[in-house]
Formats: sequence, C-alpha cells, structure tokens
Amino acid sequence: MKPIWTRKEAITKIQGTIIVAVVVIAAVAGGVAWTFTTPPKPPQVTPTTTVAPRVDEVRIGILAPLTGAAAYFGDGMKAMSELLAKKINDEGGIKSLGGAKIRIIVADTEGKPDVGKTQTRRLITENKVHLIIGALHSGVTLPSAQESERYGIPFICDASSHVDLTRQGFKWFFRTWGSDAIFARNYFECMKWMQNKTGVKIRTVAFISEESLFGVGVATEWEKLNVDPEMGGYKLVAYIRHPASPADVTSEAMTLKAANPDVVLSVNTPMPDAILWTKTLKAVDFFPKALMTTAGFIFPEYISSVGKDGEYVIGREGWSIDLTARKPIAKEINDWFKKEANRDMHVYTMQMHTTITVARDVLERAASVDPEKLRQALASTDIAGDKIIPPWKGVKFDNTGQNIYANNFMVQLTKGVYRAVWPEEIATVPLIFPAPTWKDR
Amino acid sequence: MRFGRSTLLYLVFFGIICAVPFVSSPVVTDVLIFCVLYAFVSTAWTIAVYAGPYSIGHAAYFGLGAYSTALLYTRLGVSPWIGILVGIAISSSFALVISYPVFRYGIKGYYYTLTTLAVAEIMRTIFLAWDITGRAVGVWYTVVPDSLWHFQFHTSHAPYVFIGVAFLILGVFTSNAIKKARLGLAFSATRDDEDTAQSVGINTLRHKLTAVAISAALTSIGGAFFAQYTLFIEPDTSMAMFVSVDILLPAVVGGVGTVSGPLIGSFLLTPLIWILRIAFGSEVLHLVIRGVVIIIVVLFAPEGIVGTLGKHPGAAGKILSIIPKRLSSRAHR
Amino acid sequence: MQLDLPIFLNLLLIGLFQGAIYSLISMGLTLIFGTVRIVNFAHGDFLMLSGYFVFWIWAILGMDPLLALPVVFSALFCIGYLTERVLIKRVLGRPTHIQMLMTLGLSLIIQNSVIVLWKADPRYVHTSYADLRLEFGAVAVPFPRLLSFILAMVFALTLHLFLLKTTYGTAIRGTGQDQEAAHLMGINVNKIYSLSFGLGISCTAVAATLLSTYFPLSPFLGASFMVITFIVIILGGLGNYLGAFIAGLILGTIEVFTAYMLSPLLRQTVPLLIFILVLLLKPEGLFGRELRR
Repeated sequence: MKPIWTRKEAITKIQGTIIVAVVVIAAVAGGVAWTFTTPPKPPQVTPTTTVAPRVDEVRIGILAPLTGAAAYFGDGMKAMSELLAKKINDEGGIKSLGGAKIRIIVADTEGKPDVGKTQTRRLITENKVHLIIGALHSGVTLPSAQESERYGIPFICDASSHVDLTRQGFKWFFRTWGSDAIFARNYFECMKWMQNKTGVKIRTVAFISEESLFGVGVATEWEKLNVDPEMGGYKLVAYIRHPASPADVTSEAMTLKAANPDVVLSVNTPMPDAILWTKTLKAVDFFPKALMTTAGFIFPEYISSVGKDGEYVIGREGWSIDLTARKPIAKEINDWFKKEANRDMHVYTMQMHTTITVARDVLERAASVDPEKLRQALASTDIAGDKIIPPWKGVKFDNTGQNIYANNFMVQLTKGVYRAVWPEEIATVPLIFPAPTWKDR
Repeated sequence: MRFGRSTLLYLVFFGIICAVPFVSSPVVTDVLIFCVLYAFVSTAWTIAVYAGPYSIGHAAYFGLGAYSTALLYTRLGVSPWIGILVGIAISSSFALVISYPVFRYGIKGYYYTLTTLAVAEIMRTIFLAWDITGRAVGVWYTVVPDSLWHFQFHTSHAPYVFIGVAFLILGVFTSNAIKKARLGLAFSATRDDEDTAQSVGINTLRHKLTAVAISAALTSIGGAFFAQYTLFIEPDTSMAMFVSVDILLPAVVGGVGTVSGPLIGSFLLTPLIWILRIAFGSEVLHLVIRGVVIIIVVLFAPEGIVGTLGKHPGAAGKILSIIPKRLSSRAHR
Repeated sequence: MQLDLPIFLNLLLIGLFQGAIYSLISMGLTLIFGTVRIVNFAHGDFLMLSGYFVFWIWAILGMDPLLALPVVFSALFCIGYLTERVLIKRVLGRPTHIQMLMTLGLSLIIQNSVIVLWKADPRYVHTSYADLRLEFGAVAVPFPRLLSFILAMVFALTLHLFLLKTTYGTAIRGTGQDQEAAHLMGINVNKIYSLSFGLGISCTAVAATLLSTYFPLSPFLGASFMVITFIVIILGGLGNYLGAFIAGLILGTIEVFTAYMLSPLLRQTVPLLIFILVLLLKPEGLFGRELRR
C-alpha cells in the first residue's frame, strides 16, 4: 500500500489549512446561527386543545440509582413505584381521565449527574412521560430538574434533601421530601427537648460528616443552626470530615474520644461506613450521651450487622414500623408491600409511595395530562395527612415548591428495633438519654 | 503535510455528524454529544501515548479543565470560552510540572502508569477537601437562556454537537499533525526505543513533554465542555478513576496510536453503552457486559479495530487502509 | 492534636494492625508482578470475592472465618490459577495498556457479577470474640485486630519460608529474576506463572478472612483498599515481597497518624504524596531491586 503522501491528488498545505479553517468556522457559525435564528421548538410535548384528548395511559418517569453504591435504595424505589402503579391501575386507574392506567418507566441514573440529565431528556422526549419523580442523589436531581424545567414537565423530588434544589427559581420543581435545613432543625429541636425532659444538660457537640454532596449539605446546615444561640449554641469540640468508604476510622474515633462530646451528630451514607463507625466506637470504648445519625444507620442491614452494638443509636428517620400502629395507611401499605415485594419498607420506598400518591391526586384534580394543568394542580396540592404514610399534616407546596409539612422524626434502636422516640406525639417508647457507656451495658 | 482521500472521508464524517441533530430526536443528539466528547478526549489521550507510556490519570486534566471553567464562570462571571483558555494554561502547566521530574528520572512502564493514577487521585482528594472548589458539593451552575457567550444551550442541544465537532476537528488535526510530521517519527522512535532515539540525537525529553502538555490541554477542553453540558461538577464524577478509563477506552477499542481509532472506538462504544443502559435499565448487567466487551477486545483485537483491520488487508482492509494508521517502525512489540 | 503516650501507643498499634492487612494484600499483588509482570487491577475485587466466600461459609455452615481460612485460601488459589491460565496468559508480553485493560475488565465483571448475584447490601460476620478487648493500662487493643495482626505475621513468615526454602518457592523467585535462565533450568515457566497468580490471589483471601472478623463486607470493599495497595507495592519495590511487607506496615502507621494529627481527609493524600516522592527520588522503591527496563 502506498503511503498516503505520495498520492497524486494531494492538496497543498495552504489549501488544506484553508479547508480546515473553513470547516471549523462553519461549524461554529452554524451553531451560532442555529441558536439565534431558529425559533425555539415548543418544548411542550402535548398541545393544549379545548377538548381533552382521550388519555389511555399516564406515563411517569422514575429516576433512581439502580447501579452503584446506592443501588440498594434505588431497587426499593423501583419496586414500590411499579407495584403501586399496578395497585392504582387495579383500583381503576385515574378516574377523572376515564380510568387511564399509570405506566412507570424507570431509568437508572448510576448516581451520575450527566447520566441523570440525559436519562431525563430521554424520558421526556422518547418515552413522552407526563411527570418525573426522582432522583435520590441531590447532585443528580439538579441537572435532571434543569432538563425538565426546560421542557416544562413537572418534576417531583421524592428524596433529595439539598437546600439549594428549591433555590434555583424552578417553576416545575416540587419536593415532597424535606430539605436539610428542615431536618437540621429536627436534630436541634430534639436536643432541646431531650434536655428539658431528662434534665441532663448538653454542653458540647461533635459532627461526623462524610465528604459527599449529601454529607456536606447536611453538616453545613448543622453548623448554621449551631451558631444560632436560640436553636443551638453548643460548643463544637470536634468536626470530623472523612472520605466515604474508609478502610479504617480508628484515628477518627480516637479523636472523638479525646474531645469527649456530649452529643455526636453523624451523617454516613453507605451502610458499611455506619457499621464500621459503630464497631470502631466500641473498639475505642467511647459512646456519647447521644449518637444522632441518619442514612446508613437506619436501614435494616445495619441492624443485622451490628446487633446489640447498635443499641441506643438515635436516627433521623422518615419511616418507622411504629407508624403502622399510628396510621392505618402505614399499616395497610406496609403489609401490602411486604407481601408483594417480599421485602421490608424503608424511608425511600415510603417516599415513593408518598410522591406517587401526590401524583395520583394531582392527576385526578387536573383531569388532564397537559403539563400546565398538572403544574397548577401540583402547586395547589393540599393533601390530608391521613392519605400518606409519614406523620405529617399533609402535603402542601410553598412558592418554591417545597412541601411545608415535611419533617422527620427521631427513632432510637432499642432491643433490635428502631422505635419512634420524638416528637412525643408519635413516640412509642421513651427516649433513653443519656445512653449508657459501653461498659455499663 | 499532504491531504488526500482521508481528509475527504473525515470531512464527510463530520458533516454527517453535524447534519444529524437537525433530524434526530433529542436523545440521539445527546448520545451524539457524548460520542463526540469521548472521541475528542480519547484523541487527546492518544497524543500523550504517541510519545510515552500509557496514562490512567487523564481524569486530572479533565477535571482541571472542568473546574477552571466552572469556577471562573460561577464565581467571577467569566465567560466559559475564556475559562477554557485558562484551563488549557493550568492543565498544560500542571502536566509539565508533574511530567518533567517523572521523565527526567526515567520512570517508565507500570511505574509511570501508577504515577498517573496517583496524581489523579491526589487531585481528586484535594478537590474533595478544598473549600475553594466547593468540596464535595462541587460547582453548581445557574441556568441561563441559550447563549454562545455563556456556553449554555437548552432549547436544543445541537449547538453542543457543533462545538464538540469543532473541538474534535482540532483534536484530529493536532493528532494527525503530530503523527505525520517529523515530530511524529521522533515520537514513535522515542516510544519504541528511547535509548536508540537518544543516541541519534532526538531530544526525547522535549518530545515527551510536548506530547503530554498538548494532550493535557486538549483533555481539559473536553472537561470544560463536559462542565458546560452537565452544569454541575463534582470531584467524584469528573476526576475519579473511571473517568480516566472512559477516556482511554475508545482509543484502545479503536486502535491506540492511530488518528481515527479513538473516533471509531467512541462512536461504537458510546452508543453501545447507552443502549445497554436503556435496555438493561434496571440491571447492573450492563456493567458486566462492558467488562466482557473490554476483555474480548483485549483478547481478540488488541490493536483495536483500525489496527486489526490494517493488518489484514482484504477488501474491507484495502478500503479502510486509506485511513491513517500506526507509523511504527516495527510491526509488533 | 494531643499526643500523650497511651494515645501514641494506641495509634501505633492500630497503624501496625492496619498495615499488616495492607502488607498481605500488597504482597500478593507484588508477587504477581514479580513473576507475571503485570499489575493486577482486579486485585481488590478478588479481595472482595474472598470476603464473600468467607461470609457465605459462615452464614451457611456457621464456621468461624479463621477456621474456614484453609478452605477459602485453597478456593481462591484455584480461582487465581485458573484465571491466569485462561485469561491472563493471553496478554503476557503484550503492551502494558492491554494487560491493564484485561485486569480492569475483569474488575468490572467480578464486582458487578457480585452485585447481580447478591445485591449491594452490606454483610457482616459475627464472631464470638468480636467484642473482646485487651487492656494494658491506658492502652486498649481490640482482640480481633490483634489476632489478625498475629495471623498476618504468621502467614507472611510462612510465605517467606515457602519462597525461600521450597522448590516451588525458589522456582517462583527464580522465574521472577530471570525467565530465560529459569526456563533453561527446566522450570515450567507457564506453570509457575499460574502458581504465582494463584498464590497472589490467595494472599488476598487471607487478608479478607482476617478483615472479616471486624470489617463490614460490601461489593465495594476492594475500592477502599486498592489505592493504598498500589502505593505500598511501589514503596516496597515492584516484585519485592519483603519490601511490600515492610512498606505496608509503614504506610498503615503513617495513615493512622495522619488521620489523627492532621485530618482524616488527608488519609490518602499524604501516602499518595509520599508515593510520588519515592518514585522521583528512588523509583525502585525503598527496598527495590535495580530497575531494568
């Protein structure tokens, strides 16, 4: 084969350079021209007409992490969404739409922002979903919500708590879940209540935060609240920030022990991290008067892994089996889910139920799948608390899309089960504070 | 530099890519954007490989480009285009600073590869802990209406494709130029047998540094592009090891050391990955399949598609043989 | 951070215990490199796989991990042996990036197959001695970790004696030093490759078994240990298993002290910087042999 440069039709260097330059300029110029002269394509997928078109099915897109470290949570979300849709369909579908059936399309975000964004686009343009629910990771929810905002498709956030999500000025974004600011208040309110109830004073606190978007978001809110003398004002004696999935936390635990805080607030997302922390605290023989946690600590596999060592751990939770005693809807759904999916519920399956319940209510009230009508129905949502599992007054969105009634409660692990301990209205057992030291157990 | 049928082929190829967004659905446009992006950064990676051992740390440059652009834009309101230039300056300087001692001390082979991994990991842990870069929260963009100056497009993602293609052309042009020119021969000689090359008077150190710097610069442009598309940058998705692997995979599948290899690799792999993602939505199976694909390529087509086809002239081989191939002085290692 | 004697001793001990695990994993990796001359990027995933073996043996048969050690060791040895014969062998002598990708592809397959099979839930082995603590004055030592350390030392010694005194061991070392000569001496080099790979993998099996007595298991276990492992093998000199042994202990200690005295966030950064420093000043590692490339 003859080398290329001896071929006869070779163009000279200058001509070649000109061609390349022209192509490059043309490409960029084309892009500019495209942007500024093409009328914006209508992003709406369904045109509004005066006569409501017959709607056979309502398509809801679910964004969830089905691969990666959060797959455990995403699996539950997927299961609940699909089973619940089937349940609703069996009950007659969306009545105001003539019994239209709900179809769930699940898209894996892999916990990555770019994948979430593209999947959102795909759900909207290919699968033509009318609503999007998702996406667990705040870092994925943001770009995804930006996409649905652009297309004018309602995005209902079921489980991402970062405060900035409702500060983007989105019109189409609604969050049934609480924000880290709301949840941080829960911690500090509980701490005040603990002191009042037991008479034991809290003077010093420590934070443990993993270096992840969630961890930093949560810990930042703690910091802010602690500076407020009304809500907090405790002395911060240790602030441990470590990367997620460490191979060892002994040094960190020893730092904590040396600082000897009364209360420790901890955010660790992966369950292995929560397990490792618990075991390591035992190994260095330190346990604060109260260890207040969330995420990795509150899932069933944590309990089965740490056994008795997890006793007295307090968790900020959205779901507890105790709810089934207080709320009929909780018991009904819990039993049904356990039977259908053969697994226990957790906070994210609960939230999927809450959010789909809201979606169902919205669809019924809108009696249409027109995006603007859906958005208005969403904005005027006011669902009573007895229709949803969490112990909230209900679901009602403020003008930033945040559910004003969202809240979390505190549970404490006693005798191998997390039981609600705060607020008093839903507590089933008393909160044990201060927790006994390892030696006293 | 001479141009011939191969240039025409490239122009046709790019022309087709630019035409597709006009007729395709938005999802196809999005996948196309990733195809173009990965073809670009993979080409950038290949440039480093021309003169040196294989790096699995290019995520460092990718992330540096992404963060430079993102931070300058969100904190100081500087246009991303200027941010790209700054990113180029930062990452190529960084590459030179890191690589000079590494090459000077003659670190090669697996030692070099592990060094690149270590460097990328160091960058990641630093960016994760540093307040200026937003720690784990990263950098969040505010969405602005479509704008070229702000480098954000939302009504249609087509402009991303055009800009991406422009970058890709730049990358291919550079890759080709480095390969074809006397510089390329020197590079190959440097890589294949450094001692001999040095004895012949080729300043191998300078060549290696040039290659790495150019490679870093181009990769950082890719990172900036990624930032402007995703509008959200965090260390774990812009500087992690899997990013480095995603950068080099198209080149390996397509053919390392070739100009067209990364393009072919990216345009085959990226759609495949997305199809798997969508088809196997709920199964982690698609990652297993990706692993299997990698191993199959490694076992049966280690020279990549372009390399393997080039070695087996048949009708297909002859047609494709006009595509520039490896200029190695020896056929096999 | 305050550093009085008891804390210092505590940190030192934990550092050594942690380092011992790193040493084990790294010895396996460097052994593989010494003979087969590839860096096994799937090493962490074999560690994780071993962990799952240990867990299932415990969950189904109720056998304590340390008792199950011989079984897990042999099982992973066979898996390693077969992996080399079927897959790794095909990329020997090929360019670095090909070998790298082979092991990276393997890593993807192993890790995600485990997730497909057993989900991403964490697992934890409960042993009867998990909560024992030995106290020497103000210094307290968790028993499982002390036990792991002792056993790790025993294993390292055994490995050392094996490589030094036995025929196979000498063959492995010889092949590592000079393939041609080994071949000429009548050593079946191919078989040695498979044996070394198997042995390297079974080192991770031992590490995983010891880890399982106090560390939770998940499909992402490998990721937590691999970066440090790479640093250790460079520090110790690629191919030098004694160097890896010592370097592991050193790095484990450095990591623990860094986390306590500086910040947990720098746990990995400081070792990584040391890595680069060593590479620049003494690339053959602290104890490595002369670089012949």
